[in-house]
Amino acid sequence: MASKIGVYICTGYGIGEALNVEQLSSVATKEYKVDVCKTVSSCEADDLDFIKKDITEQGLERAVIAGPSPRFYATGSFPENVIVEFVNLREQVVWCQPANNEDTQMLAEDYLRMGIVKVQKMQPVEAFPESKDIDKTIMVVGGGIAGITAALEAAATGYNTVLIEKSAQLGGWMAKLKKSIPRTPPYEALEDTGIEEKIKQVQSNPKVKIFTSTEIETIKGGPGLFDVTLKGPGAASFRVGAIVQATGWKPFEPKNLDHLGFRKFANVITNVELEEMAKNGRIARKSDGKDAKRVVFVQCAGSRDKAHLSYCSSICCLNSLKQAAYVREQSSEGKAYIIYDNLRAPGHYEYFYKKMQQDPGVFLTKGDVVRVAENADKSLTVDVEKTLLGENISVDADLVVLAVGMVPCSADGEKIRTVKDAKAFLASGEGGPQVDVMKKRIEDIGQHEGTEILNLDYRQGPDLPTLQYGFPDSHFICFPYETRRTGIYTAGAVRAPMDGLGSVEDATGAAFKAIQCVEMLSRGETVLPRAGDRSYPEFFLQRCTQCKRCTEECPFGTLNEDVKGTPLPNPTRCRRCGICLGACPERIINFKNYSVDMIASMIKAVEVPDEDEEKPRVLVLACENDAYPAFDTVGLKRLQYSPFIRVIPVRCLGSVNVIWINESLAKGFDGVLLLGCKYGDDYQCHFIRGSELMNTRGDNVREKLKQMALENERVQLHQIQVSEYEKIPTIIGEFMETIEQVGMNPFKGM
Amino acid sequence: MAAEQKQKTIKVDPDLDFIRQVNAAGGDTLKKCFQCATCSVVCNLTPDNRPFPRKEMIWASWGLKDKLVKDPDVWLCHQCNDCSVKCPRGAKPGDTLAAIRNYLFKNLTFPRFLGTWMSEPKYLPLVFGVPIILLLAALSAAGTIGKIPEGEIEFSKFLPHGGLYAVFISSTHLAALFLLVSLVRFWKMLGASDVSSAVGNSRGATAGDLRASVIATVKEILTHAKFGKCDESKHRYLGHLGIMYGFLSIAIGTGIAFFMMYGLRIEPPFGQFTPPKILGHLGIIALVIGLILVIRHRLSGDEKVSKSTYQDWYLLVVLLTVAVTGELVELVRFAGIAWLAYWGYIVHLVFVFALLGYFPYSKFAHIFYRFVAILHSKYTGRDAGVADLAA
Repeated sequence: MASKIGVYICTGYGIGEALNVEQLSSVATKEYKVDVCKTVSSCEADDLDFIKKDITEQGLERAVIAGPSPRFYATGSFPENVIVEFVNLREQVVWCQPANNEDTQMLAEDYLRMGIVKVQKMQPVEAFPESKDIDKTIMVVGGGIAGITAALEAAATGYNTVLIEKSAQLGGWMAKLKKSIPRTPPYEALEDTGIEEKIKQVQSNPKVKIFTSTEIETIKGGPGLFDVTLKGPGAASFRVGAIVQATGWKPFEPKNLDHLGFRKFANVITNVELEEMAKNGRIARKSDGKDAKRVVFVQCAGSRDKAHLSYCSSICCLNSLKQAAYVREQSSEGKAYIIYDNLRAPGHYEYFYKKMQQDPGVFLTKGDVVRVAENADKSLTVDVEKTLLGENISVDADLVVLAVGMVPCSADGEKIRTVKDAKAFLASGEGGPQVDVMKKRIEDIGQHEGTEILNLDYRQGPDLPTLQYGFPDSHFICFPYETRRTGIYTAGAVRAPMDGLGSVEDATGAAFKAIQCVEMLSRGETVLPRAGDRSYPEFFLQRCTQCKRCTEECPFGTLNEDVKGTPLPNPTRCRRCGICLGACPERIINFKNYSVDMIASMIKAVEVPDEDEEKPRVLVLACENDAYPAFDTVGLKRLQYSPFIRVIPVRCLGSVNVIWINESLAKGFDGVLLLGCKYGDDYQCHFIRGSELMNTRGDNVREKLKQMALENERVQLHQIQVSEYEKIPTIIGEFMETIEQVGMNPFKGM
Repeated sequence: MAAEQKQKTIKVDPDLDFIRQVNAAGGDTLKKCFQCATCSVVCNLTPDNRPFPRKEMIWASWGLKDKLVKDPDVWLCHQCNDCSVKCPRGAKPGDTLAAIRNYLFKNLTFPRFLGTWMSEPKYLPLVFGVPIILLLAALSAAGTIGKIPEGEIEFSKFLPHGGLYAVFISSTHLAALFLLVSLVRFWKMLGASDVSSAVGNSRGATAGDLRASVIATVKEILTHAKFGKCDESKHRYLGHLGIMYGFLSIAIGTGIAFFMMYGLRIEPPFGQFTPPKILGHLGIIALVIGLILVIRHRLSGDEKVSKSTYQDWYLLVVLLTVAVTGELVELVRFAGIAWLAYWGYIVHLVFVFALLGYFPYSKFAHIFYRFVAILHSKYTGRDAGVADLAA
């Protein structure tokens, strides 16, 4: 490894005043014998230009710049063929430690050692070979308002687009509406849906190929290389680059809501049924066809109720206001009652609510509908409690309309696969206690069979993994439209409950994400959250033991398996989180610029003082997305913490290989702190479940500790958000106290 | 709360026509209410228990006429407009309650067609036609049409007292009778026993004692104690006080005049330093100043806070005209311009009729309905919280 390495130490920002820079330089020049070691007075424009020029003039292949946090520099500001690494002397040394102190100096020197070792171990990155063959066609699944919009937007940007619709007609729900809620200022009057015009546009667009009455037989490969086979009258096979799934929603079936009399009384209907009636001309009693003049709308019929449909569908209130307008248009003596729990009219729709509220024949109250009873003439009497009128009220009605929420038209890929695996196990005839487990599993989640939409040829299942309510989203705040399958984006009501206007906006966003995906793949880059990263995991398969941990744990379903269980990599599916690297017990998965050996070597580079010096050392493996920036903020706020910690940023806490913990303890580190993102149902991990996986790997860690006769307390995992920087000094302080209590690591110096 | 658990269920059938009428009578903003109850919180006049005007707002927007007809709180409201200023939705509870009162003037007093006459300007020809015809009839009976009496100007020479009384005593007494019947009905509707057992309110000192309640009510009205608590409409306190005392002064003066004429057998016109004249002139001064204050405020008022209805303007304009024509006629009499004095007197009487002949159906009636409502609140002990505040 004879790469020419240069080290540049920045003395600005108080670094020069707080540290002995000469002594620090000697670490580079004497210990590591780097080719060039210079000081610069800052890392601002002129000095950075000097460094860049010097790198080129000196013919360096690797450079270490010790100064501000790596997050300080704009990416791409250094020559592409040079590996540059940053040592964080500012935020994580001089800003959070006392100046001119022995321990501060030791911290800075260790960080410089780690930086130099890191560049020594990194290899130049090359794009994955498939990047040359990326197909840029966008396929849209679902021909409703979202799907049509996504297809039109992608086509308008110049991309060939394929639009697949299961039913015979395009238009989806929009085509079934009489009118739309107001979408344009002043947001007061009902509007035509405009869907016919949209259908015409998409049908006449030469860049859009439409398949109706068609479903997907299979999708093989990965993004940029999806091989799609369709079934139905227009069966076809072709390759596409990215997919927008806009499969929409279905109405919640108001089962087990006996007190509302649904399916018991003829004149109790759903909002979907009322819309159909209105579209066909007249709102009438189901029982005798007479005009319905008194209509009671029951909001949240099942919605926001854990026993039925836990969430708010966000548009039922607006829909009822719209349907109240139908009732009022039909008869000047018409009365529309809306009984709500919380009337929700988000954004500009507040104006529509205000408008409808002013109609003399629209009556609104908060309340609980406790009973719907049928009278002799088939009219209904609705009893409402906890009303704003201060009394329980009873209202006679011709129709009771249940405002039911939206259920996503998604398929739970992971559950489908679980059932399939369980059935395969039973079919194999293998006995044992697993038989009952598998039978129970099939019983619990069997209803997911046959719900497939995308029919992906993915080891982890044929469809997108879903969140708890069936929405196939991955991270609604940071990465809307992203799913846990790279190159497949959701849009519209399948992603989150929303109205037509929201679906249009959503579909536009998803179409652009799909385009971004194929473009970045064609440059060999990955998409969010490590957008632009060209590194990818490489597998030394000769040593693979087919344990399947990597294929199971990858949050993005990157890896398929051959029959024996050997992973089959699909670099275009990969998001470069390194969770596979962390999972692999054989340590055969590595990136060119992020490897088991690299981090292990950085750990080894730290100088661990002898036990009698009473200077403990704690390794902190910090998620680079949240915990590491939080450390920078601690420095920015000039909060102080122990100088005995050594922080190494990792791609994701899930990318931590247990060997690093083992090796650091073996080397004499007194403890290891793992700082990752929040996990669970409302996780904040950029890679879905990296920190959660690390937590489950804790069992392996504890076992190792036991073998080494070390205390469990020496390794701790904390969940921390980027905004929770103020917790860091406390976490470190408490951990240092724990270490003091359990005592120094007896393996020091061995 | 246990009390809320046992709420009774009421059958609700909104009266669309009622909503439309309240909308038309100045309450066109009422449906903007979204029941936040800011109004009830900022109101200085509401009792603590079952406060207004939030509940009135939803009753009105749900068209629950029956609830509002027998609701004393509609009359406890003095339209300070503190609520309308603080209302986050521009629902103007102050105007809405005024509109409901307008609706009640129109619909509460028998016979209802008179209420309808007073509710819209298009009925003005009828409203003024009646006194004009009656007075002309009286003049023709006296044979004075076209003949201006000679000598010192004495109005009874032109319109003899008999004719004057025939027109005024009969109409006002009839109106008063109708009002009395309506007020008794109103008192019964309020339900004197309904509120006294209300939870969470110590019963006031006057609760259950009708005589004490009447005294307390009169005291409150004379001192305008409630009006003084308005934050937004402090200026109306003085204006309204002027109008009320001015009117009272004239009324007492008129009473003394009658006593002098029929008790003491003194023939009018009276001298300028006799009690009727002194009270009359002082009353007119107070009345005109009060009216100017109130009218000026209404003209310069912020439309967003409150707007004036036809009912408001009818009362103010008629009152002002009565005062001004009364004084002018007096001046013309001194100036000795006989024809102008006599016919001016007739014009003055037409306006007096417009004020008093229809008083149970115009906003004038608020004096009586409000009196009854305040009396009710004191008698039932519902007023306790507010009275404490005042103390």
